[in-house]
Amino acid sequence: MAACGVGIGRRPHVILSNLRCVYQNLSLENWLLQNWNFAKSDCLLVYRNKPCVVIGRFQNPWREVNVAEAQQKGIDIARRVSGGGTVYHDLGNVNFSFFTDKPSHCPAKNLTFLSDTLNQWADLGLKTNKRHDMSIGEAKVTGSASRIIRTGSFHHCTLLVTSSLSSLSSVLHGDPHITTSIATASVPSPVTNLASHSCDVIVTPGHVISHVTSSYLARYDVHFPEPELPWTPEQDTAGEVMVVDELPGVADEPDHKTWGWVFGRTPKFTRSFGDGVEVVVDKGIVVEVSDRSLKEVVGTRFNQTTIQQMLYFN
Amino acid sequence: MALRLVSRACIRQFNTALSTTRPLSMYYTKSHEWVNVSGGVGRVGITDHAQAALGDIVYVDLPDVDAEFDVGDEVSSVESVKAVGDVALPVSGIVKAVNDTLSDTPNLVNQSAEDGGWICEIELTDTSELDDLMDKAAYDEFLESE
Repeated sequence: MAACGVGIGRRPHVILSNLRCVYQNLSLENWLLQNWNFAKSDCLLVYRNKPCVVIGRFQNPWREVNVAEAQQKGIDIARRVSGGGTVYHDLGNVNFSFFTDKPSHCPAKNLTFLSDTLNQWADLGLKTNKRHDMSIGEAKVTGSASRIIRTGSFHHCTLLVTSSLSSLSSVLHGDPHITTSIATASVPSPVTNLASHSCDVIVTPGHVISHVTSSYLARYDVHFPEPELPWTPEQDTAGEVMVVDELPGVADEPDHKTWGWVFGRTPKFTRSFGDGVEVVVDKGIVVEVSDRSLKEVVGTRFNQTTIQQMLYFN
Repeated sequence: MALRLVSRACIRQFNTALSTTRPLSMYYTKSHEWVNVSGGVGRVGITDHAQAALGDIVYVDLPDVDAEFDVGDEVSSVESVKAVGDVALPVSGIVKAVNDTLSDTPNLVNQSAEDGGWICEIELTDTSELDDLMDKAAYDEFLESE
């Protein structure tokens, strides 16, 4: 493979998800990683979610997110299979997921492709850096992360186009009383929307998706076969844009919506309740308490409000 | 009797060679994991090549003790600044111990991937699977060809 070019001889596919639920889109993404035929084919998956917060694979949701406020506002909390920090999604944010085989995996190439495409179209002044961020000035417009398995990989990134940044900042305030934690932590950064920086061109998620997907297909030096009608799954769909309206193979996939995945995968932490009272939580379950009055919660799912009430009434 | 003619310098060199020679019980996979077998117990980790490719490691997900896995199953996940990758078990087994040090010091895998940065110890359930793995020489040759 040429340095930061596409894999030689590889064929591109584009998949647009019409799903708007973060749990379904993350399940779709993970299903593609496990089932895509990476031998010769690459894929660009595009999805948008209704308001939600997505934490990295080994993060602590209570430390990253105001869980009570998110639940009260109907903002879904999800955990992805890739690493990195916590991000907020809404319909003004577009997610791109670049699937390819392990040797061709190159997030830097993907971000260069995105910034070149968007700069040529709307003159946005986007720059990329070694941490696989894309920024305008000092403010980020993307967050990146990757997942690599034996058979293939994806690099995905969020792209803030017309996102509600005030909603973002209010929900991303975690619990300050978590005193020890081995989970990976987010690195806060100032953020901005693409649409705020375009002078002559109207920038919406739809426009961004259209330009990026057509540029993605154009990068590959392949001849796209004419599709035969009626279309069957065995046909080579390289160069075609496919649309997903429902999850394939749902029954076989781990459910990204379960408590066990979102909260039950949290690395061990200690939460302080003042006056020397502490609880230790592992995999989302209270495993130790420092105060006898809390012994009933040992073995139960961590719930800060329940514990505070028990302390108050004792 | 010939031993009396061996100089102290030669003995020191011989001892040094022993400490740096790979033990004969080290086996490697094509996905860059290793297992160091002694009796029916194997210590498992990722190779130096794998840790270099991953970059700085920030989290190692350790398996549960007593969990049983088949060869090729994901026994651990490792997050680095670049990606989350899998650690596949080189041979089938039951987890008997995990390297708890990695919880606080995940970059021990970067510093000493094939020694102190071990991930777990397993009791092998099918030692014939070792026949499918590579020794050090074969693994080094494999790396050259990649």
